[in-house]
Amino acid sequence: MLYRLKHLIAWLRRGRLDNELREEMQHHLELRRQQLVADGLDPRAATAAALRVFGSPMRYREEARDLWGFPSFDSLVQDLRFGARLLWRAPSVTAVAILSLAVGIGATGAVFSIADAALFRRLPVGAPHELHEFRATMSLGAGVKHLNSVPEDGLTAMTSVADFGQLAGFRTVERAVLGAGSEPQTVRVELVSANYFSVLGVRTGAGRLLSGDDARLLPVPIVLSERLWRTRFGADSDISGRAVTLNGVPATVVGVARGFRGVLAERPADVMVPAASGPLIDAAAPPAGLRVLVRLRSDVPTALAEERLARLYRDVAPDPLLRDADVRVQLTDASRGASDARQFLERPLAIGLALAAVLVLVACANAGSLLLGRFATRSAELGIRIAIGAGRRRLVRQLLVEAVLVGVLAAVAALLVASIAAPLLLALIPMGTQPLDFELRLDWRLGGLVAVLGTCAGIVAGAVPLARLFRSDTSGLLSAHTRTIVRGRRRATEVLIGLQVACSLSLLVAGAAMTRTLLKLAAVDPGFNPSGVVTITVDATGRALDEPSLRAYYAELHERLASAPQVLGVSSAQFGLMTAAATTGTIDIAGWSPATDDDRWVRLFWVGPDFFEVLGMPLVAGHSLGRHEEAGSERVAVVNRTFAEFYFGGVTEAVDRRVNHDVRIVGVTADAHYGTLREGPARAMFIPYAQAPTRQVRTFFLRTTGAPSSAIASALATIRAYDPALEASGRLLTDQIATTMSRERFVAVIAVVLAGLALLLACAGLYAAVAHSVAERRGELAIRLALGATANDVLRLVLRDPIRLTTVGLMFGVPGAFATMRALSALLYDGGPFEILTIATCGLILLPLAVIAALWPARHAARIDPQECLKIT
Amino acid sequence: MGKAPAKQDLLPGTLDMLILKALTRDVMHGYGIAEHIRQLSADVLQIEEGSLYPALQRLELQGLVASEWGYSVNNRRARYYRLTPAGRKHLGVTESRFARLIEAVTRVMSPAEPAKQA
Repeated sequence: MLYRLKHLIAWLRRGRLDNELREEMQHHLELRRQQLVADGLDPRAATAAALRVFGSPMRYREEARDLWGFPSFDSLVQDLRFGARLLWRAPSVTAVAILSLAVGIGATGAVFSIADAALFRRLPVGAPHELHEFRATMSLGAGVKHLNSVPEDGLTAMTSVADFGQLAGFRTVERAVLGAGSEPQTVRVELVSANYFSVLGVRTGAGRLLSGDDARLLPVPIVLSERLWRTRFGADSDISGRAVTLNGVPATVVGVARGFRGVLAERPADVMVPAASGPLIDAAAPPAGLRVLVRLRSDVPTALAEERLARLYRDVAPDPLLRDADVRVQLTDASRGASDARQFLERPLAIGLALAAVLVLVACANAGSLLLGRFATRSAELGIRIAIGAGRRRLVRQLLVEAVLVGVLAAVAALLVASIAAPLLLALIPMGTQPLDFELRLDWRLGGLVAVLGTCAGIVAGAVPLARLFRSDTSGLLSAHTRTIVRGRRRATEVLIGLQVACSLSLLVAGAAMTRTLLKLAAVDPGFNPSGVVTITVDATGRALDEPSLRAYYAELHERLASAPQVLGVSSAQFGLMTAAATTGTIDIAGWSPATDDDRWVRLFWVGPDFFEVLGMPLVAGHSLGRHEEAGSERVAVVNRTFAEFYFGGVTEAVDRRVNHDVRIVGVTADAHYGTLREGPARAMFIPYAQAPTRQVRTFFLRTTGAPSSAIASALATIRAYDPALEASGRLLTDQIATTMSRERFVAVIAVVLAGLALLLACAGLYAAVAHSVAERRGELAIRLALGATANDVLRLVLRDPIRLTTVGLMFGVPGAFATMRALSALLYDGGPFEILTIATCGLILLPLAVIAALWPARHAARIDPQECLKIT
Repeated sequence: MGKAPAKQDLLPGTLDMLILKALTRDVMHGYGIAEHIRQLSADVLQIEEGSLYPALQRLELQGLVASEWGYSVNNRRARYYRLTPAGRKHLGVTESRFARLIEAVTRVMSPAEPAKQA
């Protein structure tokens, strides 16, 4: 042990030790010289003789130097410096290699950081695996309602009784103005229940966190996120007690939550406020419940907890009708926080990562062929080194170090690329009304991934020249232009280029297929006219009205909305279109027996007056539902074409027929897409609201003119004026349709971008390879030109290989392209023959691009002046 | 870098032993040790003098000798080496081992002679 310590000390002092040794040796030589002179030798001869007896001082100094410190480490440092110097001396090649790797790895890093924020990152709380998100489904009759919030006092009641775990409630307020000294700042606020922080186990950064005693205090006690504390308040250690205002309400900062930004992954909050103060902060909003997170006790099975929760929830449900409903509770994993977007993002992100991995492969191949080219120019140097005794291992290490150096530099550049690309990519994913605001972090996970990828990419790229090194013998290296060497190198380059082309085909196919899917979806006729239609969803559950009052309530609201500014027409249905919600029911027709049980099920719509006119659903037979259908009069319905043809054999045959004993069909409407643009035709029946059970939730459709945002705003204002306590949210129907295509759009964007990058890299690689080949073959081409070949002949000669290469690469890439389409099949619109068509089209796009990339340097070949060229050689 | 065999035909480790022995009586610098060995062996042992220095470094790292800078007779700076107690002990061990080795070799080379008592 002491020995090693001495080694270390010697290494640290090696410069000085070396000087001392030199002095010592000089002294020795001087003494020997003096002795020889004293013995009678000529002084000059004495110096030479002394040296001869001594041996080589250099060699012994090196031997001594090897004793100091750790020789293997020393040579590694040597390799690093040598490698760095070499890379510095060939800047263009180095830059291109680093750039292509950086692009590939950076793209992967960008997708990964989104995936990390959305899918992987766990909440910075204690034991996150114990947390679950509460979701309830209430079914009553034919209706199914999905709920995920509990009224505040209901939560308190549930908490006191829950023995299976602890409950914490929260609600997000999207925007609030924080006033603290100079400029006000918009923040997102999370309203939290009394025991929120203790249940979650959030760590304190400064001051204290909210507890049960903080309810209903003025000034409102708030907790800041660590991020806001650092950015806005400069990590002030005196933050506790600081007075601020929140939406004008006086508040006091009581503490900072460490590393925590709320539990909603896609909408991180920077300020936490007790839910009891919610009405103060969020005065305009109607009372809403809290979403619930449950920390289950470890010995309680999830199913049991779900059952208990269902019973508890029924007791606190605000809607009296739902007290009789069948309540089912689902506890989903919330270790990574609550999220509504997560399930939609899993597949697209996985696909995105896979595509990015293919791009990394292309980048590696590109860098590899560049390094191979560099290796070729250094083969003389390497041959000499082997000849004077360098072991293979030393050279291998040298080359590997260079390659890994390229990889590491690329990793650093990739971090930059990823940090720029990730927010851009995130901005391209529209999902629902609220923006996806995942917190993208440049942390050790991303850094680690990028570092690993960079190192591996460097090794893979460096393996190419290494393989050449092992394959060739010393004389071959020294005379770098023998035919075998050149042929071998050319073969390796060809393989790499072919690999790049094959991978690029896969990415291009992915991009093309997804783009085609998007275009097809956009071209699908939804069966109604969505432009200018605003959908407003209202929920009157909090009003606790009984049925007749509810009818009158909504009837009055209908009139109000009809006279709102910019509104041309109003109708309603129980659910919106292009949402996941649907009502279904069964059909009985006299004298008809269903072939299967399935045949009796149809989609049911309970619609207000003018539904078909407002939405632009054309009628193909009979007439529409008028305003006169009221409770008590004859029960009527309108059906769609599929319904009419399925049950009655034709559109006109269906009119005036009766279903379900006494419901008369008065009209038939054209088919439409009700849920998604992909679904096939479904049987649907439209019943007037007056003859259907009234529900608390209703969706109003307003056909508007003018600017959509102001139309939505004035409609919401009208509703607020009518009843401030009514929960309402509005969006454009066209936006709603776009949301159904979010996943496809996300994958399409990624695929197209990556395909573009891959094409760029492949073409660059091809360009470099052809340029190199032309430079190598200058002599041969000059001779051909001198012997009478035309410029076109030379061009054809030079282009023959790249074209052959690209074609072969494309052929090898076809299985990969098929596999890609298979992987994407869930998202693609239609497959089958179009797969082959898409692949063929992409191949036909790639080939000319490759030819152009090769043409550029090839033109230089055609322009060789044989006289000048041959004179030099 | 391959290590070419030293010019002398010494068995490995012998050089270290010779150096240690040279230092038993006196503190010496590198030249002094070289001279000592040359004179005592009557020029039979032709060692490349430069090889003493890596050997001295090795011995110093192993803690068998210690060195310090001083001034020589003609006022030149020189590094003087001396034997440490550990070195002395090591020398004893190596000496007896070497003697046994020489005896064994001698016995093999002259089998006719009766074995001498050690």
